[in-house]
Amino acid sequence: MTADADQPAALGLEGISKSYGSAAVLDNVSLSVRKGEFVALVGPSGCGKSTLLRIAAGLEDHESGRVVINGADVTSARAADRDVAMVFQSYALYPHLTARQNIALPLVMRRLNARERWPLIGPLMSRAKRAGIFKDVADVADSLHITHLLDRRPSQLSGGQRQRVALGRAIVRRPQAFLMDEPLSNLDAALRVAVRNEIVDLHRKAGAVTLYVTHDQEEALSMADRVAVMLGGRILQVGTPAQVYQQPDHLEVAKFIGVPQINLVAAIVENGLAKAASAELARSVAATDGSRVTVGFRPEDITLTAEPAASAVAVRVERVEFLGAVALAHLKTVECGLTLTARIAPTDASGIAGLPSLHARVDPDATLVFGTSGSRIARTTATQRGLSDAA
Amino acid sequence: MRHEVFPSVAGAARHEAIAAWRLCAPTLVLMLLLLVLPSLAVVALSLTDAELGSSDWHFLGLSAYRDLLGDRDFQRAFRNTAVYVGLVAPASVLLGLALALLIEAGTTARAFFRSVFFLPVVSLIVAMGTVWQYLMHPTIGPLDLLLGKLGLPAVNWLGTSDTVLWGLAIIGIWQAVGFNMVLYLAGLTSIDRALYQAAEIDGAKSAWERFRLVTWPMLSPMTLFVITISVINSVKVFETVAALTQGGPAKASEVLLWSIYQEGFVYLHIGTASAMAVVFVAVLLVLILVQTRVLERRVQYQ
Repeated sequence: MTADADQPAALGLEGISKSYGSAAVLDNVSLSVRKGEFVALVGPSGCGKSTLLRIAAGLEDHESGRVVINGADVTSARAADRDVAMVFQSYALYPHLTARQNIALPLVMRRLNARERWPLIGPLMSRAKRAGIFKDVADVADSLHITHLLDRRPSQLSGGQRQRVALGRAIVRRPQAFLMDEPLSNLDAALRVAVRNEIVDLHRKAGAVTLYVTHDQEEALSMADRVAVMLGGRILQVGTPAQVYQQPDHLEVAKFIGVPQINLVAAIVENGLAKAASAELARSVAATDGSRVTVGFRPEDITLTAEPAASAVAVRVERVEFLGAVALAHLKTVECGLTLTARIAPTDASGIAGLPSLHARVDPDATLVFGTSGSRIARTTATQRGLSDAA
Repeated sequence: MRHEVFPSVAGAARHEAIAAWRLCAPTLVLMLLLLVLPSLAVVALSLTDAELGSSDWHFLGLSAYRDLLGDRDFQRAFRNTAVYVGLVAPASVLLGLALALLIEAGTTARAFFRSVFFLPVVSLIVAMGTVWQYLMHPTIGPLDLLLGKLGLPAVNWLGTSDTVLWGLAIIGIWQAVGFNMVLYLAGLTSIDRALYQAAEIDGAKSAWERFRLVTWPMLSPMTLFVITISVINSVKVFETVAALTQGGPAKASEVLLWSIYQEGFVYLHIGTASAMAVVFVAVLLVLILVQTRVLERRVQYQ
């Protein structure tokens, strides 16, 4: 996926900074979306991701930085002149217009001049243009399966139908970039998955540049070509969903991505080994002896055995969570009282709960090591799992 | 032997109905006493020749209404009121909207402007009448000095029969604008900001286009309300007439309420005044009904 890295950005945000009063909302943020790419901007609420999207759209001012669309600097251009389309969380459909009129509106505003938009006489002067608009709207409605809803007002539509109309209004113009601001968060869970798949399908067909803002990591990981993780007004990592999950650059990224959360254990480096108490958690750590690090490992990286094994620690099972396809065991280490979460096979769920004590082990080559600054510390040998996948 | 654990369904329904009536009773009694009976009393009085202070009265039927139809003074009062409403209601609605838009668009001193324009609503119009009398005075009034500076002839606003309704209308607009402005400000703040952002992205570049596309349609339920309130309030014009013109000069500013007041409280013709009041209320009801029927169809989105 890095082959086209030197290709010019279809949508580029370069060094964007913004603050409200003394509080910095965006701190020198850069992000580029390549041609035909779907990038998800994910982060907790209040991290500045929606602000960044609105700056890209031209709806909000910023103090420094540039916005570039297909090579053209549009930093000072108004939203109406940027040729981008936006999908809003609240749908933002015009309630007094029918679905058809809502979808047609961007075309009406762009293709018809002021006089042709006049009621009564306008339609007489622009019959050919209006026929073209009508056809484009019909095509879009057809691709979204909302043809039968076109004459309804937004108030007569369900949430999912409204969001489809809003999508129609965005794609009917074939803009240079789509900006989506949490378009699914007002929908219920089942509908969310359905519309999510529709958006991915639309993107695959049209291949339009998409920047998609969400607080839902599952959405981001499942939909996007690349994921940008944003925390506290800064983008901490941009990468494929697999990279962001398996090789987080930063402790905060590791903590934010992944449900249940990654297990984190404080450790000290000795001769390249990161150890917590007697347990050896990471090997070949490129850090000086005695430095404090945080070792992270995902719940699926823990191996549980009934018998003691080398470099395994004794744990007590606090609680077992059965989730259908998987089960989670909440553990507490006997020696230090650390809490850990391990993913186990659902078939083991009932058996494990009854055992007085177990032994937990992690592969010291598969763990992630973070320094005190939060950055991930490289390993001297590239044995880490996942690196080979990405290369 | 059968034990009825639950009362029969019909019995339960009757119990519930009785309970409902008992719970509604206090409100019903008060409504009857305070709203329905007085209204019915006015209708009943309008069918008689009752006079205040005289115990001797006769049932006349609809003759009071028949007299009103032919009464030139009543017709004039009717016409004057219509002209006044025709001047005050549209102007106060449009100016109220304009002020609200200006205040909403501004960034500084919004609270100050809101309060200043709302002042006439809370001020005592009878007291403010003296100020207006001075402002509109034909020789020393600043309004006419201004007209003179512009090279226009002085106008005796409240003193000539051609202009007195205009003079009263100016005061009426001055008084009503603030209230309409506050209503429109409330309407404006409830508009979803995302709609303006969508309009901007959809290509509505000018403020006028965004107003046409978002503000005006989203405000239309409020506009219906503002128009209704403005019409009702301007039909009820009385204080300025009573304080400044007394219906004059030459009955040119006689309006409906002033006529009713004269008939009922000056000449003590309770019967005739009641008939006028009934006509007054009927006109108001018809106006409101027409407005809501015609406009409501166009403003209900939800």
